[in-house]
Amino acid sequence: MLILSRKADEAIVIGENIEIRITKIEGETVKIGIQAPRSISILRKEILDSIRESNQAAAVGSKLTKPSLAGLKKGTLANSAKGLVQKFAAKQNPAPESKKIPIQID
Amino acid sequence: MQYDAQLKQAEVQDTNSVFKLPQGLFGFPDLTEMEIVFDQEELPFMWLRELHPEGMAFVVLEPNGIIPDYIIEIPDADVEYLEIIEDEIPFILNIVTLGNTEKGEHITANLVGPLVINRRTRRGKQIIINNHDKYSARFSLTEAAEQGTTAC
Repeated sequence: MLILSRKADEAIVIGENIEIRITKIEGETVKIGIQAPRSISILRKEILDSIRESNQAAAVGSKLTKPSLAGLKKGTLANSAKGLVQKFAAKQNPAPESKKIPIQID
Repeated sequence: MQYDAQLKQAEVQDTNSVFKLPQGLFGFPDLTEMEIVFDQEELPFMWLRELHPEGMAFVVLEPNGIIPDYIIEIPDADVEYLEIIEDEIPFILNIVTLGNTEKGEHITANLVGPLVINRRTRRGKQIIINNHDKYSARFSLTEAAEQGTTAC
């Protein structure tokens, strides 16, 4: 990893069109200004990490174990779905025919 | 064409349920082609899974009508990447985590990193919404159902 020292109001440039400027240093917090094309995604790393963790927690089965709803009691999902659907139905009057979720993508 | 995709059936029944995910999911870059299947009894939960029966699977949910006030802002770069053109409404799926606590099972949905699929090109991406500050990556469906706050 390249490590550079910068003072407040100094900047670095990455490639042709990304500029990162230290705008303020306050105790333990550094304020950073970033100028980049809109097509560049800029995220706090914690958010990426939390999505990654969430995906890992959500994964059922793997190439090693059968995805036989691992660790999931039979009917658990159906029961939970029923609970959700009941709440859903209670709010809808009457439940429209189109509530059937179409699975085809196009 | 509508069909009942039984989870037990291993073969791909209908290519309509298959889509490309060139970048995979966060943490799972290899999951580049997936299909969506469901069991009538489990709706609104559906399954996102690899095309072979021994593969990885995820429980997913179409948020429409289930997650209250869920309006996502898709970053420009992702709109461009997915080639979503004006007036096209992409297919949105939230990944669901099934967990257990002392109180019983606990089901959460990731509202921050939904899967967005272009219905026309059948290409999808897990995105991080611009308005991620408003939503939780662990939105409790269990609590929402108990409190009856879903689908207001």
